[in-house]
Amino acid sequence: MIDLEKQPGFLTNATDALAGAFSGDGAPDPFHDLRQSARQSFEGKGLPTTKDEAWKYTDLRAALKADYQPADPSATVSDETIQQARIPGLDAALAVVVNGAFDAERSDLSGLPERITVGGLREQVQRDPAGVRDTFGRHVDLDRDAFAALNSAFSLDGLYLSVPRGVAVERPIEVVHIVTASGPTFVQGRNLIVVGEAAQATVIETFAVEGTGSGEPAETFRNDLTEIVCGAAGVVRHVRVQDEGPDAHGVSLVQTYQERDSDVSTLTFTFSTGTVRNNTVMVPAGEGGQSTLGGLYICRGGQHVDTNTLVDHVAPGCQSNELFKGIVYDQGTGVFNGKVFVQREAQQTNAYQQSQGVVLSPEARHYSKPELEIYADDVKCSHGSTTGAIEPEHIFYLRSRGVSEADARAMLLYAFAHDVVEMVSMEPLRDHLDAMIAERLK
Amino acid sequence: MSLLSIQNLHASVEDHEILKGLSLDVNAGEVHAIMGPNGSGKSTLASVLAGRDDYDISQGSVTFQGEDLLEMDPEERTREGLFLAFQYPVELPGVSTHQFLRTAVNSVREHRQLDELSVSDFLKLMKEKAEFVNLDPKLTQRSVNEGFSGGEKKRAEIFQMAMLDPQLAILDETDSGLDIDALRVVSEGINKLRNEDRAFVLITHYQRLLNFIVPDRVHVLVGGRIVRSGGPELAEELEAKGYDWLLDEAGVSA
Amino acid sequence: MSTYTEHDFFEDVVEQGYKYGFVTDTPSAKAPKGLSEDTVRYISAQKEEPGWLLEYRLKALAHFFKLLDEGKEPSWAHLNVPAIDYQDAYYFAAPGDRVKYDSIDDVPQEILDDFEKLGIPLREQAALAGVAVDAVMDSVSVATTFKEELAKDGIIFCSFSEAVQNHPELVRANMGKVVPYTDNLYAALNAAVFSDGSFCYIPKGVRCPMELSTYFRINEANTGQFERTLIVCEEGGYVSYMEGCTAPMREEYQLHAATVEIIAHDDAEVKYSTVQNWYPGSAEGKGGVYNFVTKRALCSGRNSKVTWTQLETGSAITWKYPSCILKGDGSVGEFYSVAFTKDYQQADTGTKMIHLGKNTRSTIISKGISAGHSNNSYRGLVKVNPKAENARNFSQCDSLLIGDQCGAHTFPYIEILNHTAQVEHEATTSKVGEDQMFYCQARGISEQDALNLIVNGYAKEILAKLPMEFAVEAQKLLSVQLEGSVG
Repeated sequence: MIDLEKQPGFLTNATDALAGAFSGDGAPDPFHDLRQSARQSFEGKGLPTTKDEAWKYTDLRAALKADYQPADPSATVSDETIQQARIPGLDAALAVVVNGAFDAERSDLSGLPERITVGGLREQVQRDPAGVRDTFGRHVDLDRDAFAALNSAFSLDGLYLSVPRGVAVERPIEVVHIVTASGPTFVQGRNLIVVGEAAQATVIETFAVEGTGSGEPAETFRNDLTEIVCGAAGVVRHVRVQDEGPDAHGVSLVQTYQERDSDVSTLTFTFSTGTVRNNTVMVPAGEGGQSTLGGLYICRGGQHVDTNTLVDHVAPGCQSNELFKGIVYDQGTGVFNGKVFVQREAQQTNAYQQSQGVVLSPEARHYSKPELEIYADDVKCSHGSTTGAIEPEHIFYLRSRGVSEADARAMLLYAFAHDVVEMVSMEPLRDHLDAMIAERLK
Repeated sequence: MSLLSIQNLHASVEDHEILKGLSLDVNAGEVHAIMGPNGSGKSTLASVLAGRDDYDISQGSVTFQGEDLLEMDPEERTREGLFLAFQYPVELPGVSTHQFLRTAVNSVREHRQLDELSVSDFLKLMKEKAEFVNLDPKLTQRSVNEGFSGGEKKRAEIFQMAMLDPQLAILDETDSGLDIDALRVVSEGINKLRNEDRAFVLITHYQRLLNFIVPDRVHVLVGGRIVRSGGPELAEELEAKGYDWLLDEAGVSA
Repeated sequence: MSTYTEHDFFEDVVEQGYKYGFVTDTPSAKAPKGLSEDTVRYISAQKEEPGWLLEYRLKALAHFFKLLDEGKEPSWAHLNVPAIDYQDAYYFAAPGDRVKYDSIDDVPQEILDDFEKLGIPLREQAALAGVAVDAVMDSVSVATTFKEELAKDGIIFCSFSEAVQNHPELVRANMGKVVPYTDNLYAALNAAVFSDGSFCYIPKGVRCPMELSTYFRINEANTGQFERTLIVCEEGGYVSYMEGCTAPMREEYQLHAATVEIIAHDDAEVKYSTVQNWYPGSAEGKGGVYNFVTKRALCSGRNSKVTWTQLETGSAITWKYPSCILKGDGSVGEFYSVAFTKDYQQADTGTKMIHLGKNTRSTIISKGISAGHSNNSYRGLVKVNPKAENARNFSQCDSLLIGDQCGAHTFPYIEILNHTAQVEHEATTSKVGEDQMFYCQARGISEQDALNLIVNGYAKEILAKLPMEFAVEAQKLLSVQLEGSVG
């Protein structure tokens, strides 16, 4: 464990600075206890190291070395930056989060049903503390995850969305997270999405870093947490697109909790980043639930992307479906560690997990640890994992049909990656992802 | 005394009543065909008779050779001489047909107080029965039903029936999924196994099976009850007119 | 298998429970209780060992205590291991009061009788045809059959203690090369107090004409068994080696920490098969053997090949990962395993395939069967190192669940550091199919027989890889274990 006392620089400072930033604004602090215990939990655990089984393949030390300063929540960004971060052609409501603070002025939440509540989480906490407290942090296991504890202790802004019973929000909500700073910056974001019984919502998150001064983007370390709580027969579609550049590091957690017959899907696409760890925890907690999770990572340069997932089947008769794919070039590293946990009560579970990695250069690395932990007997669970180069036979086949080797390779990789895009339902987003894949594979 | 006697049988699955007072008597040597539209309760009848435990019997009785059939475990029913040819025969990966049938045959023989067959006698029996029902002997050297085609599975069921030598055979949609050639082979096997002591209950949706196996009696099952019984001509009538007129008569919507 | 019919098979199965649970009534010379330098010196002196070996043992002991002090008992396994008091056990027990037997005529009749009862006749005229056996009870090798006949081909097959006396240079050159005492806590313990085991040397170009086998038996109460086996197969050699083990039923646990090392040179092939049937503890989870074993093969030569095949049915706790280090170019590692657990047994077992050489290949097929309140985990590492061009691995791990109180888990680790590797892993978990059970019953087969048929069918692919002499025994054993697992 990294000792907080000995941790050079930012976290010790950051914790104090963050505490000051978020509790000194005169607002009621209904979360005092939670924050307190989260802070204690974080300080007790410290940051994970590669000696922790769950962090075996990801060493955060290099990514944490810079002299990070807490992001300035009052900063503003240009319209151009916001537009660049958006999904082209997607008809969506817009929520802008700058340096971890919800920016109401730049957001455009028009065109959404009136009965929903949507806006900044921090503002919502001040308006209706009791309402938020009902769900906020309820399903996150702080003891399992030091970063979730850190986030819970000091962060409180991002998107808040609450959809009442029976309301289908057909228009997607696009959350654009932007960091603007001149030096190394630490930023935390927190989203809370609560979808009621038989209600429906779609949320897309994109991430960008805007450079200031010299124009070069600053080194950043994000620690994000998105909670999704879905009521009976509710439907949630959640997609994250990471493409902030090689100096953007971070850890994220998407935590979902589902009541009976609900259907939640959460996907993460990771293009250009630095060292990134993406955690997803899904809890289908009511009978008949359906959980879908997936993602794609394409690592170049020294990029390191670690995907860690847990599907915790606690209720009977649920289905989970998981597909992650990674392509690793150069000195890149891809990690997939996915666990399917089936508790004793969760009979008739149907869990399927697939992970595939393609390693394309001598110094690239891929680690895969797909796990099944099963305590119920009437289940069907499987996982498959393949790692390797592109099948030479496939390339040969295409070449024998007159395609150049480079084109053959690109074609096969594109097809490999596109599988994950198939899990997305929105046409403009699919087109955008396909375009990004094509660009990234060049 | 009839070989099989079903009186006023009511059976339900998960509180949904499927058989609603079914009665049927089958004597030794007879072939009965039970026909009916989808969802009329045909396969439920086969399952209840073979002892699948997903069903609740709320009323009625079934006796087989004078004994209460419903009280018996599935293996006991088979040992007493009942045989179900499955609509969907189950694959048993790694379990050799030889080992499987030897265990089955000797369990049945033990029950009938017969000596168990030696390996050589058993192999002889297998060979003889496979030839009798025209089964490719290669199939008996593989794992039970594993990787068999639909037609091979149905033929293997008839072969198993010949091996176990039952008093009463229930064939659950044995004709489904078979092309005409396969149907002919399967029917030939069944016809060869017809004799004065053995009875058959053929459960089927279509009349075509009955072109090959001429039944003594035909019953129409609709809405969980037998609504009409007759000779082979009834099957032809059904073929010509379909089931709708009977559904109307029985007051059941299709 | 033609003489043995399915019916015999089920008859045998009816004989319920653990039939190897008896105790041989023979006096026993023991080391003083507890673990210390004195214990180690006592063992070494009893075996009249050379100085270098005593030194090796003492270094290992120091390392063991260091690891213990640092709390470095392996904790990553999915096991609940009760605290072990290493001072409350005997580390050396010589049955029949003798530390070594020069001739079968010296072995007390009750020991011979009981080995016969276990299916291992030791007198050569009665011995199993085509199988040479080294029989080890507690800390001492009692007898080794067919030694002279094997020697004609230059094959050395004897107890480890004997090898230390007669072939010290071979032992010294190879021992600890694959599993150093620093490897893990149990390997350190074994290196310090190892008692007996087998030594096997196959000279260049020799195909061993018979199966070699060691039968391990724990007899004394409160005694650990720490055998050590070393197999060296020279260029172009071939050997098939089998290992069997049982122990009496006892209320308190017994520790078994063995080390097996295999070295395969160019074009050599070693098959190592295990039927592990240590006492699993009572149905309520009392007693049983803690089976903490380090088994590893070094495929050091070009195109060498090592196959591990195991049926694990016994032990209260199993911690075991027979592994292959594929160092030679073109070398091949295989791991085939059936692990069955019931009652309160726990197993965490699997393999490591470490690809170092070019064009190395490995195959892993693991079938877990869990019943009762047991927990059964597969844990396996496939690592392709940067220089292992064109490495290939295929892994398949299936788990079968019987009853709703057990657990089945799969923990594969796949580490790919070379871009030419192709690694495939598949795993499934399912219960014994209700439709399969019903189908068997509808053919007149009882529930218990149906379960036997289905489970044996599931495991067949692996059991068929065992040498003939073991395959039937293994199938029987599996069925015995399945007794009472219905519903």
